[in-house]
Amino acid sequence: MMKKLKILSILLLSTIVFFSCEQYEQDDYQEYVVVEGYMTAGERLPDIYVSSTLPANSEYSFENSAISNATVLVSRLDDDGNPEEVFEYAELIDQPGVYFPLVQSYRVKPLTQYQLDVVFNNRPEEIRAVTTVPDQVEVINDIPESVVYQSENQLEIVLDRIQQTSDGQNVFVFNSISLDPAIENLTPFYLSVVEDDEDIDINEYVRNSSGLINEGNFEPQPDGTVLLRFPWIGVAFYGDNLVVTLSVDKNLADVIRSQEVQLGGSTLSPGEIPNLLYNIDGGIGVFGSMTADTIRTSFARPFE
Amino acid sequence: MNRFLLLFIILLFTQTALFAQSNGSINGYITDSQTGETLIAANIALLETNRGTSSNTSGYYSITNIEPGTYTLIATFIGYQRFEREISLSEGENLRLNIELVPEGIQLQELVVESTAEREEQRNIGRAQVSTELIKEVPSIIEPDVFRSVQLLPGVKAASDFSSGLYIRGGGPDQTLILLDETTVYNPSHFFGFFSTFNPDAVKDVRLYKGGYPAEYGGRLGSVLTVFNKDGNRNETTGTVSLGLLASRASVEGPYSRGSWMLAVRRSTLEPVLAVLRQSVDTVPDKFYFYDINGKINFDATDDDRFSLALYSGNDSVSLPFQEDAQIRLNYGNQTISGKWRRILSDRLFGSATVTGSRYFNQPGFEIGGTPFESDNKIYDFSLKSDLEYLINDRNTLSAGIWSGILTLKYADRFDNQSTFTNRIQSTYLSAYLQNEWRPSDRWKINGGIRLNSFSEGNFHRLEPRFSIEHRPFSNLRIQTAYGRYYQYLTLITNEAFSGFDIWLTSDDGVPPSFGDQFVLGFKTIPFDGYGFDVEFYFRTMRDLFELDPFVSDAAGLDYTDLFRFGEGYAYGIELFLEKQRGRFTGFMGYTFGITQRKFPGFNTEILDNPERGRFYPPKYDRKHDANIVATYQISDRWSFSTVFNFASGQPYTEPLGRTQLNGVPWGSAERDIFTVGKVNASRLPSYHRLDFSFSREGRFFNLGDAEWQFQVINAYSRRNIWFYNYDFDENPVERQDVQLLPIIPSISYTVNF
Repeated sequence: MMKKLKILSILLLSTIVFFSCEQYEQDDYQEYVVVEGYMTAGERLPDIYVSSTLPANSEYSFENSAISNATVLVSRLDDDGNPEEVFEYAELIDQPGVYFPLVQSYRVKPLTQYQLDVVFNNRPEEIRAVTTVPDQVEVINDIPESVVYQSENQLEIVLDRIQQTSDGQNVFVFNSISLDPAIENLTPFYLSVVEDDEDIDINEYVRNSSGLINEGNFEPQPDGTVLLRFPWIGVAFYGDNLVVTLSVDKNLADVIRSQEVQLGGSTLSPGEIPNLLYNIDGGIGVFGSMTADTIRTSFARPFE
Repeated sequence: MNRFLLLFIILLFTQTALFAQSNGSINGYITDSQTGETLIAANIALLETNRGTSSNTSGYYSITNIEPGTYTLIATFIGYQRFEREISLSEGENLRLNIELVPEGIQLQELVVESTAEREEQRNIGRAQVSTELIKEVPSIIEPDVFRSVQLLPGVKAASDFSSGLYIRGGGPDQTLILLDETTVYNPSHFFGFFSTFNPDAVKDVRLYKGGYPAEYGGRLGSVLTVFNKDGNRNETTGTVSLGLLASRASVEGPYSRGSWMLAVRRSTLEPVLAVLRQSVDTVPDKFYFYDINGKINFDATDDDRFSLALYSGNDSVSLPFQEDAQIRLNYGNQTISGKWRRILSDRLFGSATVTGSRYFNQPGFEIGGTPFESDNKIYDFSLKSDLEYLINDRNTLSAGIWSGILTLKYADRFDNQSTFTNRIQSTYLSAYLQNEWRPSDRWKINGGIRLNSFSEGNFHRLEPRFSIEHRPFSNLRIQTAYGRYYQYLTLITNEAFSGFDIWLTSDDGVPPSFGDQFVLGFKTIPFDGYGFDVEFYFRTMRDLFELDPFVSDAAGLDYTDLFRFGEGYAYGIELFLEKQRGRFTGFMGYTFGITQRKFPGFNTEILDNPERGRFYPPKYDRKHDANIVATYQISDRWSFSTVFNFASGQPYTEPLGRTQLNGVPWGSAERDIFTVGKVNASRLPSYHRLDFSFSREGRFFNLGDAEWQFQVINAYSRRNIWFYNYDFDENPVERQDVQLLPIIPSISYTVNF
């Protein structure tokens, strides 16, 4: 009996030791090319930023990671995905890693596909990404000159009917840009945040955004237009503000929604860090597009 | 479905002559003589024939096919005096004998009779039991807790000090079916997951089927935890009051002319602590409490018929202003109700019918800068179940049952006073099982069964075979093996750090149920008298896993299938369990070696790889090595000491390898920092270890009742175990910060039993 127990124990121990051997080892840092560019309908072709990743524990600045001497091209694609018009880029002399379009007169078109290609003389990577510019958003209602903050009358914005792209429903972002960004103009919530945390600068709220909002959140009106009420949380400063309505493409939506949960806030366990959804071949970053319309109003203090 | 129901109702209500015979039988309920509580898995035997059985979950036993004659009937149960009575059976006699066992005091411990049958029942394949005494004895944070005690068992892991969630044999919390008096509980937590909803004063029996569970249960891929509340004292009215620093509880139970009743309440008592904190800290909740109420009433209608009605209601509520013009509110809870009818249909046939209702709700809300966000999620589950247990002959016990119900899930989100998302899922479900336990000889026990289940949402019908064999080559060794297939139609949307926002989603068109196979092999030995040593190996697969896609930031307008990511997984491991069962010094040591892996296409891919591929990775709660020592020592008649030591290898985490920034995002004012990672969860946190201990002193409370002081220290040497790493991008280079688990926590409680 004792002999059998011994054999059983040895067998058990051997099994545990065998299966304990690490078969899923931590890999090492690998450098990737990072591209960043945002096409906006109706505007000139964007600058493209080209850099590389740095080790996680190193000091980061774009200047330290910029990649010079890249060949950057943006192409407008036809319906079959073939380049129809090619735009060359050149590197800014005083800003290494930043590439500007040689043709400044071209305006980005909505509902059009564009392709980014980046290649290097001294690196093997070949970067390619494609974006489909969303349909143009347009605010079609009259905007009041002034709205009393947290009053019953919220700022209402009516968007003209908008076509969906092949990527599915449209994704919106609402961005308020303060034209009077002073600490005495901060609304109560943002004022308390700034007062409580010395590290927070009021400039962080000058451009205050709603985050990504699916079109499905809004009930379309019978005529196909979309009515939305600008939430008070979007108002960081009293006074004059620009309110920008953005419709963003899948690439931009993917990278932002994955970036926002990379370090928590989703169903992922604490410490479980995923890579982002980049939609870029050969590298990382974002080559996204959007359309935008801007209105202007003033948010007045209550009882003012 | 209706035909199934009809068949079982007919079976349940029909006294049939099929079972008539010339040999006699004996049956009845087995109870505690002091409280009248039914005893589950007590051992009953006829000495002369070497035949016996054990009581079922209703406390009912039956021995059939006994030749006319005189016998000595014995009944034993751990902690009770041996019952012995001479009985005579004439031809065809069906003797109803309800047995009352007399509990032994601790001072007579050396005389306490051990029940081999119950020990063996507890140590069936994949099974474990936690006694209510252990739950109250072991040191605990805030309150004695059922789940925290279950986490001490091998094969069961805790995600963190802050989570009472059960991670069993590589499965997440949603892979364990939790039944309170046979009713599904959907979010069994208080304090947002810190401890479970089950009040130890109300609980009678806690049973965990870690894996390879039999056909009578279903609906979850991994395991089943059954909790039965007390029936109430059938002999006298008694009660208990326990005062703790952060929560207190009271219970009372007693008899009435036709049965018994029980009521137990518990409430947090944080208000004084919060009031003190408000003097010096800004962000203190306006409101922060939990409570739960358990009640049960039993009605003994006839010798053959018993009815019971059990109720549970629990609620957590917090309201926290965190800035000027900003507040968070959360209200969540569960209610359950179950009505059960137990009927002795004949000496061979025992049946029960249960009607259950379960409601879970959570209502989180924020209001920031004048913009409210509110969510209102609810689950309603109403079901009818019926079970039959039929003793075919000495060697075979047939069980069958049916469980049918309607599950309704409602979700509603409102943003800025406008409805942004509503959904309602309603599905009927039906499952039926048939299983037979065949004992061809004293050395062999074979259990085979099959479970059929269907889920109307998506029109799924699935068959689940279950099988287990036990062989006893020697009197002190049992070799057991089991196989089963399991389906799960639900998935839990939760966060390991916080369970107050939990919601469940179901299978549907395009979202097939998860399924998996389990294989278990066990060796149960008695190396020395009074000791038990068990070894179990397990391997299980998980296929068609569906989980909320972690990158879905807004569900509005998405197709149902787009909410999910679909994947697979597997787990295997070895569990060792050494138990000292008798004497002043009792306890156990458990060790688990376990591996669990998951794979979801598009997740954990190499950055430049095909995004549809994915690599297997260990989830956060994976611990390869996990060891627990639980010991209790009775120092004297008044003083006792108990301690728990846990050592576990580090949990996985993802090491950030590279970094970059997006500087031009056309909204917001700040740049966005990004990490690049390699393999997800490929690094390990430092090992976890913690020592807790407690001293208890028993005494009297002004001659009104027994009393107990409990002094305890959690994390005695204040080991600062690490939960995860946080990264501060305000610093350049990024600064890594340790987010630590609990420090040393002393506490004191006082309990009076009257």
